[in-house]
Amino acid sequence: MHEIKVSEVIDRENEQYIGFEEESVTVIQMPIEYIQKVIELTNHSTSVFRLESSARYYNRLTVREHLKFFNKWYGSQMDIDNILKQFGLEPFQKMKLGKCSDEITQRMAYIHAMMSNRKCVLAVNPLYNATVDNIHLFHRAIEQMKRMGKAVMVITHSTEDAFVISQDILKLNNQGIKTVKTEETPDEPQSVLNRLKARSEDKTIFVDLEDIEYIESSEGKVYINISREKFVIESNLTETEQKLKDYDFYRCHRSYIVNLKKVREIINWSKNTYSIVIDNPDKTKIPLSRTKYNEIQELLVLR
Amino acid sequence: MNTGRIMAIFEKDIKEFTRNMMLFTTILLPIFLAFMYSRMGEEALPPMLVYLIVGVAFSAILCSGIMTMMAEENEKRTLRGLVQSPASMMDILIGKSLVVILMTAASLTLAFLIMNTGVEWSIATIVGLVLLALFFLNVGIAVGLTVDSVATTSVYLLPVMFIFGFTPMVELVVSEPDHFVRQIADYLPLYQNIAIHEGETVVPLLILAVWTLVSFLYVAWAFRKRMSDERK
Repeated sequence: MHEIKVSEVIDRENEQYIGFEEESVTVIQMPIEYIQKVIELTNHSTSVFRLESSARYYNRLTVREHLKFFNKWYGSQMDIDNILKQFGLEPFQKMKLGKCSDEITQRMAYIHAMMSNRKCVLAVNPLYNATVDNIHLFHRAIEQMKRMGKAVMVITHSTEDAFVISQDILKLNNQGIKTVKTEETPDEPQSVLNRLKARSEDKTIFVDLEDIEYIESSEGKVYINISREKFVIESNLTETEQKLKDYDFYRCHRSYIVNLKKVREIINWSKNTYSIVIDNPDKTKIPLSRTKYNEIQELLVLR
Repeated sequence: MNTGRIMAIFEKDIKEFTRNMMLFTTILLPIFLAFMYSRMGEEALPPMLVYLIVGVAFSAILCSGIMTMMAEENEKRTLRGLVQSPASMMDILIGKSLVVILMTAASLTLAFLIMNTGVEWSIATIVGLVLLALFFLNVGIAVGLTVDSVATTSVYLLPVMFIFGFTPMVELVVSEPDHFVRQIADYLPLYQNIAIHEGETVVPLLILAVWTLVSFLYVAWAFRKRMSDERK
C-alpha cells in the first residue's frame, strides 16, 4: 500500500511513515501547510483517490445521471438506486448538479470516492462545513469503503473534526507523528472564582465563566473558546478543570473541558465516537470520550 | 483503449453538448447559412459558398465544440478524479471526438440536403473532406488540451475560424487574384477541397495530407505536454 515519508511532509529528519492500511481508516490532524504537502506528494500516485469537499462535478448532469456515469467509467457494479436511497439523494436524483446545494455536492464527493477504482482514499477535510446529516453519511461511506477493502486516510486541520471521525487520532506536527489517545485523568473539587484570566495579544482579559463555551488544549497551550474567539490562558487543563469543577464545567475528553450550560446535544456517530454539539451559531462539535458518555448525561439532567 | 469508458464519456458528453446552449446553437449555424444561400437562386451554388459552409461547420462545431468541452473540464478540474493514465485521457478524447463528429455530421447532412450543391461524391471528394475534418478536430483537441479556461479558447478559435474556416471569404476582401494574400490562401486546406471539387485530385490531396500531418504533430505535442504537466 501507498506510504508517505513524514520527513518529506515536515521537511526535517524523521524516520516515521504515514501509511494507507487496507480495510481501515487513519485519521491525522495536521496544520494546513502539511495538508498541502501531503496533497502534492500523493498527486501523481495512480492508487490514491483524493476526496475533497470542494470537488466540482458536471453541472448539466442530474444526480442520477452522474452516478450512472461514474459506474460506467470506473466499471463498478454498484446499485445506483440503493446508493441514492442510502445517501438521502432520492428527492434530488432528477436535479442538475449545478442547482444542487453544497451539501449534496459533498455527498457526491463521498460517493465518488466509494465508486472510484483506486485502492487508497485520501480524504482532505471531508467534514468541512458538513451538516449533521453529512457527518453521518461520511461515517457510512467510510464503513462501506472499509468493507470494500479500501484504505482510507483522513487528513484535517481541525481536531474537532478528527475526533468526530474516530476516537483515536494521530497528530502530525514539526516533531513528527504521535497518537492522541482518549484517556482518563483523576479529578478533585475545590476553589472559588467566577472569572478566568486570559490573554489576547498584549491585553489581559477577564472572562465571565458563563460566556465560555469550551476550553481546549492544543500544542501545549490552553485556549478558552468564546463565540468564535480563542484566548490563551496560563494554567494547564488539569488545573483549570479543578478550578471550574463547581461551576458546571466538565472534562469531557483528555483535551477538552465543556461548559455544561452550553451543551446542546450529544451525537453518537458510531460505536465509539461521540460528539458534544455546542449551543452556538456554528454548532461546534467537540469530542466526548466513550467512557464519559454516561457520566455527562447524568450531569446534564435534573437530579 | 477501453470501450466501456469511451461509451461512458460519449453518453455523458452527448447530454452536456445538447444541454449547453453555447455549443448546441452552433449546430444551427451551417443549416441557417445553407437555408439563406439556397434562397438566392435556383441553380447550383458556387463551390466557394458550399465549401464556406463546410468550413463554418468544421470550425464552429467540430473544432470549437471539442475545444470548449475540454476547456470546461480543465477550468473546473472535473477530470482530476477520472484521469489516472495517458490511456484514460485517450478514452476521454476519443469519446468527446465521437460526440462532435456526430453533431457535425448531422448538421452538415441537413445543410447539404437543404441546398443544391452540385457536389460530385467521388472518392477524392470524400477523402478530402475526411482529411479536412481530421485537421480541424486535431487543432480543436490540441488547443483544448493546452488552455485552462473556456474564455481563453476564443483567443485560439477566432484565428482558426477566420484563416481556416472562412478561407473563401478572402475573395471578397482581396479582389485582385494575383495579390500575395490570395496566393498564400491557395495553399490553405479549404481551397484544396475546392480544387478537388473542380476536378484536380493528386496535388490538392497531397497538400491536404500535409496539413493533416502537421495537425497530428501539433496534437501529439499538446498531448505529451499535458501528460508531463499532470505529472509535475
